[in-house]
Amino acid sequence: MPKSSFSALLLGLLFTVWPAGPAGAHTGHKEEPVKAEKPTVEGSIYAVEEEESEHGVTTEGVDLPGSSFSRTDIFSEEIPMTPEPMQHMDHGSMLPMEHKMPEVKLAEHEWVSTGQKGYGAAAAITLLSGLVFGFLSFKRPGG
Amino acid sequence: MANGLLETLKDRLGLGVLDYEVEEHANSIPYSLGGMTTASFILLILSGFLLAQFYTPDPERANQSVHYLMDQIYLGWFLRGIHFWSAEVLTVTMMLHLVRVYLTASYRAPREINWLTGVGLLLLMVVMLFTGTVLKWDQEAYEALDHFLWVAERMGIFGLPLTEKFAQGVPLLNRIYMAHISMLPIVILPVLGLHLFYMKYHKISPHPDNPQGGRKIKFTQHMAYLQRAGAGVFMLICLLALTIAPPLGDKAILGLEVTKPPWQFVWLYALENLWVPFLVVAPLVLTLILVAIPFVDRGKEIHWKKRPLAIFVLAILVIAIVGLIIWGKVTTMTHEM
Repeated sequence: MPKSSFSALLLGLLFTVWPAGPAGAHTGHKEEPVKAEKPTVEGSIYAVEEEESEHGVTTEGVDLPGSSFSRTDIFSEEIPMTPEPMQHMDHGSMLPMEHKMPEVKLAEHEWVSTGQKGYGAAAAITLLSGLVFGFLSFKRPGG
Repeated sequence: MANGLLETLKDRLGLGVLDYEVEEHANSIPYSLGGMTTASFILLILSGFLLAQFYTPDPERANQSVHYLMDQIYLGWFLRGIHFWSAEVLTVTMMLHLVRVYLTASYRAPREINWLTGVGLLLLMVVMLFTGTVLKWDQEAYEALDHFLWVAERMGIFGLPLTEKFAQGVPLLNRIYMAHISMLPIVILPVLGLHLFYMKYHKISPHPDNPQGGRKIKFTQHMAYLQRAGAGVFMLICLLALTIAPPLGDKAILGLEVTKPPWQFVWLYALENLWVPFLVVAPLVLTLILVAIPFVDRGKEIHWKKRPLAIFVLAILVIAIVGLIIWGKVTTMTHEM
């Protein structure tokens, strides 16, 4: 190979493998170190503000007054939003058909206890409705 | 003076439009069943307004919020009882109303549209009943929803809006609650309005014993009769709410099937046990039969004694549904979904 051709090949190779980064140094592009960004929900309707009080205490996990259902309440157990495939059990005996399953207390109609909150008021409302019906029946509107 | 004031009020409020005449037989229990159904529906709306103040439509908290209402809120148990028993009474009066209209052939021309709006109301009330069952989010509710989703999946593209895939990330319970308290009532009210409008427009159907019409009364007298019927319905509902508490289970255990649906759906549950696709086919066929009735039965005779075929069809349907309800209550499910 002639010496001039060898020099041209070497020069060509040099430009080819030259790192592209420094070559772009004058284009205005500035490469910055990659940082793992934390996704933000700021401004979203789903954003939950963790407000700090004057004393630096966050409201998270605190039962707020008037809130029966706080984040730390008894309903915190996860429930999937859609049902899973069913496993059938014997309706009569409630005994598992194949292997042991959690016991389910079936909901049934029950007699109302007279100790319920406001039972007297409820009885009065019922009595009043009976009186209104009796009065309207006594009047016998329209035959 | 009092009469003068009443007359003035009547004039200013335009109440004179209610003074038109209706057939006297309107003031009877069979012809007031629609009014009793409306009274139950009004009670459902009013009690629903109050219940909504205490309900949390979140899968994690829904069941507990209902328990909280029942146990901790003053008169909460009574309020829920009123809502529950109103729905039960509505189901009964609505079905009796349907049977009365069928028996007296009141669906015939020119009242076909009124029959169709009635069928529409029936379907909407069934959906209301179903969504209401799901909201308490106990085992029965969860299983009802599971069966519903099975049907929705088989409806392909038409069923997609009824599944969670339609709005991923939004709990289905939230959407069912929205449908129960907002979407369905918004649809029901205009359909009910149409039903009442066409009843006024075509007038109350003739009594089979007197097809040519009899003595007339003022509509205001009929309203007074309906007022009494409504008061009777309210008293009955109060009595039921005062004595029998509606069922409410604990939070659902997912993946199990141990409950049976409310009695209104048990016939379907029993059919499903025979052949699972009945869950889709049976409601569809029944709806088509109901829609077709006024277009198939074009006879002139309205007395039930002179319509043996119509009565035979009704008897078969009633016996089949009652039989399926009884069978569904005593049988054990063996099918696989």
